[in-house]
Amino acid sequence: MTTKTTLRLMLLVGVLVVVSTAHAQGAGPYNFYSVTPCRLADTRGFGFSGLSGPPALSAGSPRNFPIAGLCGVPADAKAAALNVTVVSPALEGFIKIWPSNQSLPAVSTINFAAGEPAIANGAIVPMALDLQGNTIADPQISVVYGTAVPGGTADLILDVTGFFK
Amino acid sequence: MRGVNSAGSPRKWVARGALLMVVASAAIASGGCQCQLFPQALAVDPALSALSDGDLLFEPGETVAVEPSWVKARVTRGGFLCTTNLVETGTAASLTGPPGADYTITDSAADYGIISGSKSCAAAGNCYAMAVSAAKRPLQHWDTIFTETLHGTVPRTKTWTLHVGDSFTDVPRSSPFYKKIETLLHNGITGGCTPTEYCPGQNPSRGEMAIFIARAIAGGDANLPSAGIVDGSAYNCTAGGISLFTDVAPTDPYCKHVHYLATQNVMLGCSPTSLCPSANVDRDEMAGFIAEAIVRPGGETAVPLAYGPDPVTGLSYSCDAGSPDTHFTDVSASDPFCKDVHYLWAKGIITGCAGDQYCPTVDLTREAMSEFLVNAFALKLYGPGTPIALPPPPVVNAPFFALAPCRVIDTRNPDLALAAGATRNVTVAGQCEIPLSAKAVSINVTVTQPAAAGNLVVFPAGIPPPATSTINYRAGQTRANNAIIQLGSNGDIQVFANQGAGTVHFIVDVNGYYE
Repeated sequence: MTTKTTLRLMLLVGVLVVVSTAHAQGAGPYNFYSVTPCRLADTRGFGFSGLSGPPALSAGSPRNFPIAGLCGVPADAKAAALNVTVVSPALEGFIKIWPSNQSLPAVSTINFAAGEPAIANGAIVPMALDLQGNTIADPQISVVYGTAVPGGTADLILDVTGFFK
Repeated sequence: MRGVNSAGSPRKWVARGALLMVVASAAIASGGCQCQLFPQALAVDPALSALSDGDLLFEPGETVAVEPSWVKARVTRGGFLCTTNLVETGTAASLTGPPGADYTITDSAADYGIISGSKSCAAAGNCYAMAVSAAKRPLQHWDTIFTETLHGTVPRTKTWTLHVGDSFTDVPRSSPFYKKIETLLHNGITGGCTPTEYCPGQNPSRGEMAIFIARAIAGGDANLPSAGIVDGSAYNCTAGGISLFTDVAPTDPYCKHVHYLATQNVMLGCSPTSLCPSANVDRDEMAGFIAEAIVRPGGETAVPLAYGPDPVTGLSYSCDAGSPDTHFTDVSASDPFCKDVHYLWAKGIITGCAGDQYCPTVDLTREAMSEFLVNAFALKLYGPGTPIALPPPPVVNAPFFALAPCRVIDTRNPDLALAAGATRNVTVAGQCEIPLSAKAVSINVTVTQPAAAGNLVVFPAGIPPPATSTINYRAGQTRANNAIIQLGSNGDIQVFANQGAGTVHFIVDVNGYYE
């Protein structure tokens, strides 16, 4: 696997490739592995607690969710095929999702209006990798609820149908 | 044709436009790689022989002919037609079942000759033969499986299921309801009344009938939700939950069934708010239940007062008192169930109790019930599409292949809206140039015209709906989402409408697959 210090992965929606070399290079290639469709997190509760459960996301406050080790996603997965559902956001806004060891990206995964009962988007979300391209121990994904004006909460559901490695 | 490898290595890939031009010239040099075979039907013990009774069932002690049919891939959505004739032979192997019995393939070779449309090995005069025997029946519901491998223009492997008859000591092979009762058992509609008996002459109660009809509609008990909404009122059939029927407790075994039927406007109640669960069902009432189940979710008013000629049976009727035209002499146009009874008759579901009589006020028996359920819901004993599908093995290490976006299903055309609480099976492999060996698909799912808010759960065939969602929507909203979904063992996905009432249309477009 090629190593580049400025390596970036990309979300399915919104493309980001920043490299300092002559041409763009993503991590991979990776192949698909399925899991039985499974819920990873639900901030409303419904049996989920701790890192994967309540409370709802507060606008502007990033939060990390564990993925590896849950729902059959192994520790060495390089990316996960997720369905991201936002429930009853108080304010119009968006959700950004990125590997927990990287900085906040410019791209968003899902956009929504205030009070939307529930809206979902599929996303291929990369796991946090080290400089050698290996998945770090206890990889998590970071999520933030962004709004134009401060305040508000939104509930988040993460479902998984498979992973890549 | 194959897609483009995600890693960028060139695969044989042709843009759709170019492909169509090749077809138009009728010079399909590589037609074989486009053509695919699908399992169509399975005939078992079709003829009397020295070793079998020819009653279309596999029974202990018999050696029966086993005759699969295959159909050549048809027109895909892109308009491509498989014009190549396929030459196939087959091998049967690994006949197995529960321990305690002997399973033997006595003829493991079959020949299909040239398959230009659909074809059974019987047409080529060479099929398989198999035998099963046991000193003691190992299970009440006794299924065996074997693997068929086709060798020829298009290689294919398929695991077929063979149900073993003689399930009930009180339903002999000579009973006119024997095969239908075996079919109910095989489809998980009802077991026996004891571990060895069916009790064919017993009268099922309204509560039991709710269970049987709901299972037949939903394709099994596991597909029935335990909570939902009927006409804006929520129900929850778990301890401490809510029942909308005064004489049904949330923990009653038929609670989720009778409420699910109500969501489909199949009304089994003896009044708007009561079920009378222990009352018997007379034949008139049964016709009402089944007719409403067929026209669901249209309800009683959707059963036509006059109908025909039916495109299949050619039968017609009129229960309009002004111009009556009825078949059964004991069900006149003034009978409140006239249209229900005659609708089932015109559809070829029932024939009556004797001659041109229906015996409308006679209580329904468990054996007579088998005719209504098997015929109304086209339940099958042998062949593809049997509801006992096995969960597919996990997809491992599958690279991505891109496709030109292509529509797999649009429930608006033909108009087959998905009812709230129902699950639709959609065969994906074999469509849109997705090979039968595909393991998962990258799709875009669109919902439109939902009658109520809800979500769709898209998941591989062979498992019950998981506790996840794929796309959420409000009433009347059109909206899309993308997903990567594993395929079931037959290259199929399922779409479950997690919705309180009414129907929803959906569209599945595919843009690539994993293989």
